Amino acid sequence: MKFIKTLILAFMKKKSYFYWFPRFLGLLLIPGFLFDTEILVLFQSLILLHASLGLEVIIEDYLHLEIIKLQCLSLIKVLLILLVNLNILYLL
Amino acid sequence: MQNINRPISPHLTIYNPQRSSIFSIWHRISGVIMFVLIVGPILLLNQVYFLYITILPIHFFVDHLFFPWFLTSVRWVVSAIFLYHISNGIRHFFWDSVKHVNTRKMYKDSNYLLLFLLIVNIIQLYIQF
Repeated sequence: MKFIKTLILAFMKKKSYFYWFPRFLGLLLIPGFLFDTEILVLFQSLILLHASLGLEVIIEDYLHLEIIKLQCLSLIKVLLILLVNLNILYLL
Repeated sequence: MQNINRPISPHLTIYNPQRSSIFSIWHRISGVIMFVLIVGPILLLNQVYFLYITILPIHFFVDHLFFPWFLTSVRWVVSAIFLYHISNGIRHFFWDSVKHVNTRKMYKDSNYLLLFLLIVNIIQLYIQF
């Protein structure tokens, strides 16, 4: 209950999106795994968004040079845009 | 300007493996593996199936080796990785709502998680073969 309260509070304040955004996406993705995997094909852009946020966290943790870190983060964002576009293209 | 050649602490090799650290590391590794597994088919569609060139050796590889043999044989590993990431994510939700942060409860939860994974994998192997 406290988790939902903090999540809704952070969502309302539009702050600390790195906290509530991946967790919110993960909550959305759980029923897809539980009931039917075909739902996940429709939700694949959400999966990609969740994965790119997770990769950003991993890169921020393990790369210590500032310039290379920023380059890798921007490359991850470009890769996310490419993948979501490909996904929409193949779903249509 | 920072010193580029500063020594980085050799983490993961000098510490004793504890439940909390090992499960967190597995969470990250399984996330990266899931990313590769989900992104792979999209790029495979783009680079292999919808090309103008109709005959490539990679077509043979994908059609006759990868999908029938490799993916069916490692399906239970893939499902174990997905299940691990989902159930550990639920544990992360518990920790965010300040429940089961206790060491004893965390150990018990990790045991439950491994037991759940084992049972689901055994059932899946029984169904598959």
